[in-house]
Amino acid sequence: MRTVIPVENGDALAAARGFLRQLLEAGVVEALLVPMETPSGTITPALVTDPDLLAAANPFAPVMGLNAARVVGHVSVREPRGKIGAVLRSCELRALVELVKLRQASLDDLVTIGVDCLGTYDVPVYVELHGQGQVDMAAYLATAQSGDLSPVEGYAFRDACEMCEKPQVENADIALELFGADLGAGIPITLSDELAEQLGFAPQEGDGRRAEVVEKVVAARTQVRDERFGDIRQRLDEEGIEGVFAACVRCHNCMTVCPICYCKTCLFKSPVFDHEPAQYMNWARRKGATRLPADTMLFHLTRLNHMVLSCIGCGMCTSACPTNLPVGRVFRAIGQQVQAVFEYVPGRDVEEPLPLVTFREDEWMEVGEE
Amino acid sequence: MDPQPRIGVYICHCGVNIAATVDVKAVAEFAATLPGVTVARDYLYMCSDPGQRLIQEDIKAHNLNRVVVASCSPRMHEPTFRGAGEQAGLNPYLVEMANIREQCAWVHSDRGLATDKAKWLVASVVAKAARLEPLEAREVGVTPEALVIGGGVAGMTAALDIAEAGFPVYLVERSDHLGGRVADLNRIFPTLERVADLLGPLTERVQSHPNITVLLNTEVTQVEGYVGNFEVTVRGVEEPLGVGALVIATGYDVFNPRRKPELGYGQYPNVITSLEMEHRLAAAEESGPEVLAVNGRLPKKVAFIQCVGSRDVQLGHPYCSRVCCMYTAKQSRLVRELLPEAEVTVFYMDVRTFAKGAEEFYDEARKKRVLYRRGMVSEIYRRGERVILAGEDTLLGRPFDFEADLVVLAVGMEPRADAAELSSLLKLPRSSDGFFLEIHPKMRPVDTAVDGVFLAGCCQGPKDIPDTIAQAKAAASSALIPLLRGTVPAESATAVVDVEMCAGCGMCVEVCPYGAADLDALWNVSRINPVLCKGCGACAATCPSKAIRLQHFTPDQVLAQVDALLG
Amino acid sequence: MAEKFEPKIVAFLCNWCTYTGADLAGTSRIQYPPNVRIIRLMCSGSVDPTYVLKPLLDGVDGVLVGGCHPGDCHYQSGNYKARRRIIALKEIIKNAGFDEERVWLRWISASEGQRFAETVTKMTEFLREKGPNPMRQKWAV
Ligand SMILES: Cc1cc2nc3c(=O)[nH]c(=O)nc-3n(C[C@H](O)[C@H](O)[C@H](O)COP(=O)(O)OP(=O)(O)OC[C@H]3O[C@@H](n4cnc5c(N)ncnc54)[C@H](O)[C@@H]3O)c2cc1C
Ligand code: SF4
Ligand code: SF4
Ligand code: FES
Repeated sequence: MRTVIPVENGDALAAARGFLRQLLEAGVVEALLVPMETPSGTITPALVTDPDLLAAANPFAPVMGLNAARVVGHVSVREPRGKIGAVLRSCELRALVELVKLRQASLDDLVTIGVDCLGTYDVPVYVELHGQGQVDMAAYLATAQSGDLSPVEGYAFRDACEMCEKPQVENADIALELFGADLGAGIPITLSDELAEQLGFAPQEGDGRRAEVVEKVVAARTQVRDERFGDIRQRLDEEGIEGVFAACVRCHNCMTVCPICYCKTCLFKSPVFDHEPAQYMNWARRKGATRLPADTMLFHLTRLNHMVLSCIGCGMCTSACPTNLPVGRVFRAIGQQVQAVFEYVPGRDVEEPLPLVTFREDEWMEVGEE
Repeated sequence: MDPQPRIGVYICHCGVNIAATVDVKAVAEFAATLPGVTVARDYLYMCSDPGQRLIQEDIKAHNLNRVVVASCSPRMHEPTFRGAGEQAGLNPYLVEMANIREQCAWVHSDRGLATDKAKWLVASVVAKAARLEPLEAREVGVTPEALVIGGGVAGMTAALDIAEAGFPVYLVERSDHLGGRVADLNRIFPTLERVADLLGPLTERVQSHPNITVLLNTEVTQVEGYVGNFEVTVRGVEEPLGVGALVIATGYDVFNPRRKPELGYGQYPNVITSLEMEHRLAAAEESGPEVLAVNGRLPKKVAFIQCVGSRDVQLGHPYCSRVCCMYTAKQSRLVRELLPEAEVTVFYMDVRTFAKGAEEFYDEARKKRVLYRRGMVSEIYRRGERVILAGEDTLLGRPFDFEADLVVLAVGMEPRADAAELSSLLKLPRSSDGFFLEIHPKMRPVDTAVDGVFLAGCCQGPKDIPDTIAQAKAAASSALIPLLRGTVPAESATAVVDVEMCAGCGMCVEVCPYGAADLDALWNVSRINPVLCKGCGACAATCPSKAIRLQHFTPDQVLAQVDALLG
Repeated sequence: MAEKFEPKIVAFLCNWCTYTGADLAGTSRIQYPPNVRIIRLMCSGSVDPTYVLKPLLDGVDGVLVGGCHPGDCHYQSGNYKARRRIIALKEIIKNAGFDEERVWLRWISASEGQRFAETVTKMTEFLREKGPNPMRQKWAV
């Protein structure tokens, strides 16, 4: 059912908080996983059971320190637990779908509350803006209506957000559909009839501009994306991955923050890559020199092999890289090609099998026979 | 685990097989310099008793904890050297082989390059050996029953021997009777016994044997499982049949001479196949030589043409069918006896009489005035009631035209038309001629690439009845080994899970073809059932963190092997 | 004058088909260039992407993965999984600035000794033509 959360005094954030409170109080969920403002002004996801604490909830906070799909896994994958609601932006919802396939999260007894994403800042940028009192939620939310998404002047959204062509919510149990809406008047939502009844909502159509605005945002973002893909592909062609990632210090941050990289211990931190000193000496002799830490490009290429089919483009890797490498651009640009080969769209559908664990006997029949 | 590898490396000359192309001394000297190597030697025949003893003495004298033998393919002698190591107290999985014969000495001729390659192959295996871990030998139980596919003389003989040893056997035959092609014959060379006298008692014994279940008019549709525990689905039988071993005895097809239209088969009543001749001879013996009449007249001139569909590269049959020379000697003799007036001529390329008593039998035919003429017939055409054989006399190098009333084409053998289906059902490789492939042409002529599946009779290649029976008996005794032992070695190099590393993603469960991987509900980590695991490594390749490793082929072992290849 | 370039090829062959096919090339004495070095694995389905990537980064000129023809894998489906994995791998390295043509996947049965020898011969010639893997010179990987 489509309906609208009423907004009073033009304060959409307060209305959203009220809606979340309602979910807890009506017993739709026993706890809510939601971005919360800490006393110091930063934002972190938290699992909230006390409705009063939802006064600090900010489901629209324009910052992304981690992809919350990971922490959904923490609270959902093992039994027993109660019914949980998770507030997630679109890239987090897509990551969640992949994590469900990888059995790192579960949709059982989980209510996903999806929020259209208007763009996010890296944490340091957000902290700076917040310190200067420049985080104006009303102004930020106002950009949803026209789709002219823009950061505070002099600042930029995260690289991944600037080229995100899937900012709108798909596949959530409850969708907060910000695009095209006058959020000062009300927040359009879509949810099941059953839930709507439980929460006392009656059907109500928004003004119907969402599709149009989404299209506009997607078009603009796609253009940015294609330019950046073009750039990075050219660099990869010319310099190779070893050129693009030349400054990598192999801190593994990109892997640590990647929502898809779910291994408990990365292979590259395991004894397999724990070499004897004599080995390094041998390598140094073989090529005259050997980069240290060793196996840096092998790490990136292996990671690509392991997860790029599931890369949903949240760009946390880029945000986390201490040497400002375009990790996300590289992974997304390559991911786009590989995903196309398998006609696989990560995050689309939990029923869609991961390409590398299935096969058809009669596919690629020419391969291997030449 | 021994922290310090102490590796013994043994380079085999294999007589001159390796030593002629590879400088084995140089390889041994090189091996001695590799990390972890304690001793490196070369020896004439490592697989010989003194060769094995050399290794065993070194294991004791030098306290070796790894052995690398650089010689032939591990598919040949890995069990030998693992056994030798084990006898000297070394875990058999700490013995590894470098293949410097099949994959080096025999395929290269430049001594320098071959020696170089052999060095790196040894280095690679030494690097792996340094990282080997001991594995436990495991055994699984065997279903003490067998199944034979094909009820010709091969299948019947194999079934009977297994049954006589006391094990239940299923004999699956596609047609409605036992006997195979032999049931279509008349008399048998070289004894000239009647087929009925030979086949009758055999069939009777098979049918009445309490341990044999004959399943006629049916086929095997699915085979699952492994040596010791196959599950065979037979059309029309409700439950899959559990058996420990399989014998394949599906025989052959005769070459269809319509594929050589120039010989006029199917066009002129004068031209028949040897198989049809068997029928006619049988009928003639029954009811008189009139049966042999063509176009209402008893033939005065009978010609046999040899090698029809054999030794013919263009037809894809480069091989000799091994029985045609002899059955022609048999048939031509019988014709001379039945039609003493007729002139009988055999056109041949070479006469091959290798079986016991065969040469004598052929001499007998010539004594009976069967004429042998070395010549190739290239065309047959009609002249009135007769046909003309046009060809070349290969002794004189002259063309000839030969008139005949009856022409018998000595058609050769070819693989069953449906051999490919059985091959994919059982994952049974075939050789380039299309017959089923034995694992080694000399040393292991009844074993196949699939453990527990054995070959008997003409499905493996053309042969006469004595050879068929000999092979059937060999296949039966090979099939009896697992049944008698009651257990078979199970794969020791199975996959193992490091539960500390496992994130429980379940991809291994998805990719394992045997259902051997399973998620533990409580801990949400993968568990491998070692009894079900066949060691294919699909799970390990899929697991991104390598929480699953395929033992004996672990990433550190394989990557060390790769690295060592580069110097 | 620089020495004539001879490519180095690392081959991962499945035990049941291609490795046995390579043995058959040996027993049949079919000659092929000595540029290939074989590593025996149980199944093409056990070839980890890392096994292909590591030698490429180290400067090996070509990697050959050999398995049973579709339908013939000793373990039912290992080669089907290998096929997808290698297709993905090649697409990735191609887009990461590598020459994906240095990686060959070939189905070669136990009876195809000739085909094995021909494959190695063709691959060696192909790589001779192509020249050395640039990674031979690159230490900063
Ligand atoms: C014209 C001619 C004359 C010959 N004369 C002589 C002779 O005088 N002396 C001599 O020693 N040899 C002779 N031979 C050779 C002899 O025929 C063979 O040696 C013998 O038939 C081999 O027996 P086999 O059991 O291997 O195969 P076959 O006799 O072919 O029997 C195979 C059996 O398997 C069955 N079968 C096939 N596929 C399947 C399946 N998928 N499922 C179930 N059942 C299946 C078939 O129906 C058949 O019953 C002659 C051959 C020919 C062509
Ligand atoms: S975060 Fe950056 S520096 Fe760290 S491993 Fe990833 S790419 Fe390298
Ligand atoms: S090695 Fe193969 S058979 Fe064993 S558990 Fe892994 S996938 Fe299954
Ligand atoms: S065993 Fe050859 S590909 Fe699997």
